[in-house]
Amino acid sequence: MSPSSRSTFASALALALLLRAAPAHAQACCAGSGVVTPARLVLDDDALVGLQLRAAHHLGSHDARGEYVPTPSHARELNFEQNVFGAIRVLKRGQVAALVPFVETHRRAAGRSSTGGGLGDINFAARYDVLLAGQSQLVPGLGLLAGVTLPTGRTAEAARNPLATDATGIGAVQVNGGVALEQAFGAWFFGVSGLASLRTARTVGTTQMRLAPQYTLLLSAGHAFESGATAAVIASYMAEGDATANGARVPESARRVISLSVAGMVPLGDQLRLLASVSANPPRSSFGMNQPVTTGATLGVIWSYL
Amino acid sequence: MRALLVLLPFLLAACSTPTPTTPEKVVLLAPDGERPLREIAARAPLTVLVFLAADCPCLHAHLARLRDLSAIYAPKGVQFLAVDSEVGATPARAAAAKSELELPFPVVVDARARLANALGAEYATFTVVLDREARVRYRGGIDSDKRKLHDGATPYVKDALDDLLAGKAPRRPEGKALGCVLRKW
Repeated sequence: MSPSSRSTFASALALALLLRAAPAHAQACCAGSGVVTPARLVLDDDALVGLQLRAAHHLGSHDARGEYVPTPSHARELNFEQNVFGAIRVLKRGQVAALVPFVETHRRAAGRSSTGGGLGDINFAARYDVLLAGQSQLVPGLGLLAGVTLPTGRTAEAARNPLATDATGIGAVQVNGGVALEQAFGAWFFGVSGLASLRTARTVGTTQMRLAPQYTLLLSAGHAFESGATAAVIASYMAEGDATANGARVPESARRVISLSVAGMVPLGDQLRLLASVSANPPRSSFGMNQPVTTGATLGVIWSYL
Repeated sequence: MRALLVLLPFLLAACSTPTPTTPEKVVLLAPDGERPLREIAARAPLTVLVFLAADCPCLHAHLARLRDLSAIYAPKGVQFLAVDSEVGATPARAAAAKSELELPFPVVVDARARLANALGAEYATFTVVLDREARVRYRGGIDSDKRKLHDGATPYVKDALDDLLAGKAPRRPEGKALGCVLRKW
């Protein structure tokens, strides 16, 4: 996974950190949020810690015109992440979270292969629930989101490994804000969230580079079962404009990516929950731009404090 | 913008943490008709009010414990009532909930969640113990369990009832309620 696509994933995960993802006798407002947004405190949690493992395989990429290009048979890229995260309630309806990613990349191309990795870009997030899902019959729950991602990872230009497999970050501070709407109808829950990210400029050689603002939309729908397990389908769309170099627009550098995932959460008691998901970027033209197309899976465990 | 203005009062209301007030003026719709809480509370030395949401798994997990509490303390003069503060509550729904949940005590209707708001009840399983003067003596969870019950759970309501029946102040006047959001409006 390239640092930029990793950034996209980190943004989605940050969004997940900020958002929340249920009965016959499973009320969605109790359990639903955890499956969509693993690192978010659900209703009764005072704090949580968790670990999420992710593996992804590159199928190809979308070029600057949105054409899907499969990965050549002689090339291969695998990405792995281990995300350690925690969240704590600081107000009755306010929570803060932190995520520390460790990322590894294995890349093979043109007869060469390389594996590398390290600490990625650390993310801090905050959420305030103005209105809880399920509190009103008509008005959905409303959460206000904010976050910052620090450039603690290694940039591509600072990479030392062949094929830059030890690049783990984008080299810029990202500040984001957004809103999350969610509602529960019995055992079903639905969510819509939007996040905007601004990135600071960074210097590469003698060039000052700046990524364009990035916008992410996340849609989710899920169901809570009587056992307390929940399942959800999640779709996200990320878009950003052309980057700039020394103030000049860099043509055809805009990015778009659509991600689809199916996630499940199984509670083992009231405090321990296991999560798993599979995700993919549709390998079809016009479903992305300047982004790799991957399939991936995650596995996570969360311990919460009531 | 207009929609935002319409929603603003609700949002502000949601932001503010309700301050529990003396709820004696609240009128509840009991099976025997409309009754002020003060009148209901005056019927017994202690009254236990349990806020319910019929589809809340945490409440369902605690039903057996509620029946046990009622079986132990009702003979000692403690009055138990379940309260339906959720939107659309009616006597018929309250009666159906009593039957479905197999509660050995009545379910009363808290129209427009006035009692829930007065007591700061936001979640199902939230429980309040009132004295004969309708003063709040305990408020919070039934116990320290959420959905999976443990033998070692701290029995908040039981402790409060034991203390109050012994003429003492409750050792723990508040406990965390672990339940589902009450759909009040």
